[in-house]
Amino acid sequence: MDRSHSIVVWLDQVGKNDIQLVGGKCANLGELTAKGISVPPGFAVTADAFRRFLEETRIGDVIHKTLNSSNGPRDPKQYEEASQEIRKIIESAPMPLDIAEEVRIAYHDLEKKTGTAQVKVAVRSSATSEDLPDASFAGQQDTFLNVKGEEQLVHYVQKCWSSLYTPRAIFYREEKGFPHEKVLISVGVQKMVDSEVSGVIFTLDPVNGDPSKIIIESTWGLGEALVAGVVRPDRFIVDKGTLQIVHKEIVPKMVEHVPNHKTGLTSQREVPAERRNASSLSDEQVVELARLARDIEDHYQTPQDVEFAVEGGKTGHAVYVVQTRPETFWAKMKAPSTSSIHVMDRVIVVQGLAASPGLHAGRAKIVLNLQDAGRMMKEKDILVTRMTNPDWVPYMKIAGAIVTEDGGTTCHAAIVSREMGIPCIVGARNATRLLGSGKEYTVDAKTGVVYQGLVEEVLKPAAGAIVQVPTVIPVTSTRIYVNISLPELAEKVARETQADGVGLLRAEHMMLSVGKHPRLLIEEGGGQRMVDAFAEGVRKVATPFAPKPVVYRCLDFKPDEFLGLPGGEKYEKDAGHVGPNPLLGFRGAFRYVKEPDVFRLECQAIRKVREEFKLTNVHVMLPFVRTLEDFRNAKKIMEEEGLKRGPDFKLWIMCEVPATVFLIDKFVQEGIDGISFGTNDLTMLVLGIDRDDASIQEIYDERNLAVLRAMSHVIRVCRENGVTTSICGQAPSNYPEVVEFLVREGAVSMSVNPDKVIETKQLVAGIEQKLILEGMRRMRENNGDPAVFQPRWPK
Amino acid sequence: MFDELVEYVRENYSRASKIVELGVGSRIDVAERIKKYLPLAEVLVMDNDEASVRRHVTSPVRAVADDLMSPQTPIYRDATLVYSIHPPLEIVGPMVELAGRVGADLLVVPRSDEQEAFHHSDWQKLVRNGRTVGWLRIFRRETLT
Repeated sequence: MDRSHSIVVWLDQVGKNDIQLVGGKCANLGELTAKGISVPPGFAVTADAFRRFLEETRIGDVIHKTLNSSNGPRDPKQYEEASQEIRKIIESAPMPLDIAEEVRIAYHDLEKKTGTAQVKVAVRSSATSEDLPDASFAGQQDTFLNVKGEEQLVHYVQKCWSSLYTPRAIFYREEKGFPHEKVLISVGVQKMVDSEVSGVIFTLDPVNGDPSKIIIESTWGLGEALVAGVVRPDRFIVDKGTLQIVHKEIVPKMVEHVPNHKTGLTSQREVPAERRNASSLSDEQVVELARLARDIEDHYQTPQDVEFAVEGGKTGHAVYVVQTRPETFWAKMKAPSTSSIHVMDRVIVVQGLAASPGLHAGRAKIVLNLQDAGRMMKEKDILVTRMTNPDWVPYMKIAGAIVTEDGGTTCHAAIVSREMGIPCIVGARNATRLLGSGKEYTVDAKTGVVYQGLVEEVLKPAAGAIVQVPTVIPVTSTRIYVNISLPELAEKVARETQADGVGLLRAEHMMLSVGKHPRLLIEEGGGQRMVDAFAEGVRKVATPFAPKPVVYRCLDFKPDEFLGLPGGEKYEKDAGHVGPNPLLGFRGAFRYVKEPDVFRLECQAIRKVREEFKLTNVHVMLPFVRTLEDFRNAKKIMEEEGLKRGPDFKLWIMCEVPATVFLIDKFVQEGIDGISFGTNDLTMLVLGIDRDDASIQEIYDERNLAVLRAMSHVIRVCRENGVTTSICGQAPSNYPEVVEFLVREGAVSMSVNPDKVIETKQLVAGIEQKLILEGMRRMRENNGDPAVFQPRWPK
Repeated sequence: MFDELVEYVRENYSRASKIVELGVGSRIDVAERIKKYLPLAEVLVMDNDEASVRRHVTSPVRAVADDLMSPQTPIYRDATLVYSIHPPLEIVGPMVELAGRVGADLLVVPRSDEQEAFHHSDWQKLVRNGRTVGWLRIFRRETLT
């Protein structure tokens, strides 16, 4: 039967090949119905009905003229204006009488089919280019729920038609190159499911693209609350192969969306107390839904994003699939399996898992057995094989890079190549077939990609990356420490920089990882969580550096920086801590004294590292110390928490407030083992510059004589009293002359960012050699008088 | 919070087709505000911590887990802008590498005591209403205007 000019067709009469007739959404629902999957009954107002509407009302030309009125890219306002104009035209034009009549008749038939007079329906748009595998138009057109009665239905069908021209839909068609006039819209009309529970199923993990998992998110009531993001859903992770629930997260669900029988639309209401904390799905329902979703994916042969509704709740329920569409995001990430693709002017030949990071370019040798390996492999060749075992190690050792077809990040090739520091990609499907023996390739084992030929852009070192360790790193008298913010990278930094220790371990990123304001944590009884997280973070740093010192700087968030954390508004803004200039506000050692409970948690973490993990190379530095009293009180709290200064445990302070410069001798008397200049704040405060005020930045300079004199004074007093001096601000990284100044003044150490450690060591080595030569020359001139080594006030 | 950043992106990237926040952590409100102002742009957020990403799955912006030390480049392909708020300095280098590779601008809002690392000619300081918004590196191959 030729249905191409039908006005209405029933969903159980269409399939996936009817996209041009009823749009992607309705075609999918028809396909599912034919497969026996429970889909709410309904019909589609066809795309041809819309085409006739445009023709008979003669508004098609007006619309396309409006859309084509400007050539080239438009700005968002133009899209808005075009959309408004077109939608108004469509919604105000009278629907041809025969089309309206057929819609009414179909509605009455649906009433009979469902046995419900004035049956409530969902009216959903279904564009003919919607939900194609490579161009998800999901959500770009409108859906109207809880529509009742034939007149309301006709009205909303027309509104769905006009939603083909939302600004977003117009923009997407232009971006994806779909001609507007080729895209039509159908409208699906389905019985409303009185959802007690609804949700979404992803047949791969939407977070990481893992195709072995099915993710189900569900909540009470209609799915609108979930899609609108007004509720946090329950979450279930199911193994796709075994259909076992591997993870379950049941959360409080405070609100739900329900049909509003007065307005005919939907409304939001509070979830009754007895259901709030209950799981919205039983385990049996989760497994049933997972199986259903797996079947749908099998049917379409591509991962799906399925919306479902459960009628009747946990007992006597009926599960309906409301919509299914291909998952397009991760589909685009897939490696090519049989042919090459171009990315940024480079040709990717194969792709796999990055098992041992690194880059290498060279000739590939496809070797399927050891005999071939012995015959073909030469120094720095790319070893390409199915999988390695211990017998392959001699050939792996000489390889410049390794690519295997099988295996994951814990397979033999991955483990051995990591130990050897050889770039390695595993699980690169068809690599032995797609790569050519003797041909040149670039292996990017940071991203798991093999490019055709030598790709210089990939091979050249990126700016800001950690510099490769040269063969010889000079030994310096001045110790060069490293600043660390991210504990996860400490092992790599320790290995690659060979720094003499950590001069600044920042605590702020550990706090960000914990993900809550510390006061909120304490209020929720989660203080121990902070202790454990901080202890673990410090352990990750102290272990690879041991026995070299690691100086942990206590939390120094400015009040406004806390605002980004849950609880930040309440405990910073509402508490009145966020002043006009947070850099000068409620921070540093003053805060520890005012909020000792938070500071005590940090102390407990350090004690745990030192005593439980036996990492006694960890020491503590107090930031932004303003007064002797603050220092004294903070030190007292530390002692109460078991952190007592001694030969084995050093206490440092940051020297960044002019008061600590002027009173450095008093601080020494109070008992400190080291100071570290924070040149950022010190410069700001010595010169009286608001660091965040752009209009005054031109005079901000760490090399200002006033700043240098401040540092010179502190170094001299500290040296006279056997107190270590260091610097952890950015000045040495940015200005070589500051490095020379510090070495000449006698600073014991400096702490720089990871990418500057080796460079600074080389620089310091040169300066120290120069000083030795200068000293020898002067000693000769002064008959061996060593007094010339005394530091002098800088000029 | 970060209103100046949102406004800057709104004013300067109104024609962006894709914007990605790197290292989103526990807060997604900045990306959501950008999405609200630029509804035509695809806005993504990423973090290497899957647990924090999962909290954002039902947000209007797409949330994915990835590791900046070995990023899946296709996630960022076609991005006009990638940005990061308060990133640890160690991952700024990999961010630069990634942005350069995909040809997207990189905007970083560092914590106050890490700002000085951006005092370098490679970085352009962004100022709005007299205050520092962040630092920008331009890798975009075509202009937006």
